[in-house]
Amino acid sequence: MSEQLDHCVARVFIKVLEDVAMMFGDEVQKHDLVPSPGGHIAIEIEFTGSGQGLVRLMAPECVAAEIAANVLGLDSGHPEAIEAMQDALGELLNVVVGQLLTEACGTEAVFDLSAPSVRGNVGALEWLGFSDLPGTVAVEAEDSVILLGVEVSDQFRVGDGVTR
Amino acid sequence: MTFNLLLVDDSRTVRAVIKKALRLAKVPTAEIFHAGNGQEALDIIAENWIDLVFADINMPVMNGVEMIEKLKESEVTESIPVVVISTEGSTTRIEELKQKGVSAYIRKPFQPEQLRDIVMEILGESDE
Repeated sequence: MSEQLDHCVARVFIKVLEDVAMMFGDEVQKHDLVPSPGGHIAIEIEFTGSGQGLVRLMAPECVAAEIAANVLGLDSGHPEAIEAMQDALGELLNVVVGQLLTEACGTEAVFDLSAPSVRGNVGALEWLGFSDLPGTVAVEAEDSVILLGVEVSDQFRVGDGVTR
Repeated sequence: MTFNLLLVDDSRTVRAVIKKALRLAKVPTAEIFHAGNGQEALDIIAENWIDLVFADINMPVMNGVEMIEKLKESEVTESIPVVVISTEGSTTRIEELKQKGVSAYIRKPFQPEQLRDIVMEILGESDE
């Protein structure tokens, strides 16, 4: 079940990234991945209700700034985009979690989502630690790697949609 | 005819995106107000004429459901249409929102045309 969800979150993330930020991503193997230069942003959203768990995302700040610029319709590197990158990435993950839970559990399930918990200046060691976790998946976008992971409780039940 | 719209979301990015989408979809707006939570929204509504509210559900201080309940409690504000824009995909939740008096529901991510269609359906066509 967990492996199905891991790839499902990657697929949903790639779709949302395209729809929201007009950026294209591909799920990539984790072998020999190296963190991008510069800091990373880590975001977590917890969910409770018909099941509980959390979704984590870790992205280079340069990609987060690019996502914010595209979402807001600003030029790459615009000061407003850099200021908004944590908020924009948090909102992106919010959409991903909403879509993921519907895809995994159907429209009858009811969930409450926490506000995105955002941390900046995440270093390479933490990035490597996250990438080494068995459930972590990697998506390449803008020549950088974004890591995603899902943890769910034993009560979490995945419906048929997740395998499609 | 132009409309005063209130955007309620704790994310400044989302409010900026909705504002941009309204402009792209050529929704005839007079003034666009911003609130970061339900309480801020109620404070703005108390002092300004608002034709329609776009609101998120999950917000700090006062969430969207509490805000809608407060609006519906007052004769002065009960007729203000509220359109929820959220990531919520549960049909149960969406039905609950409609029973609380929500005029329409838009799931994120959305297209600018969806905002225009809903504004025009609720408030009527402009003269433009």
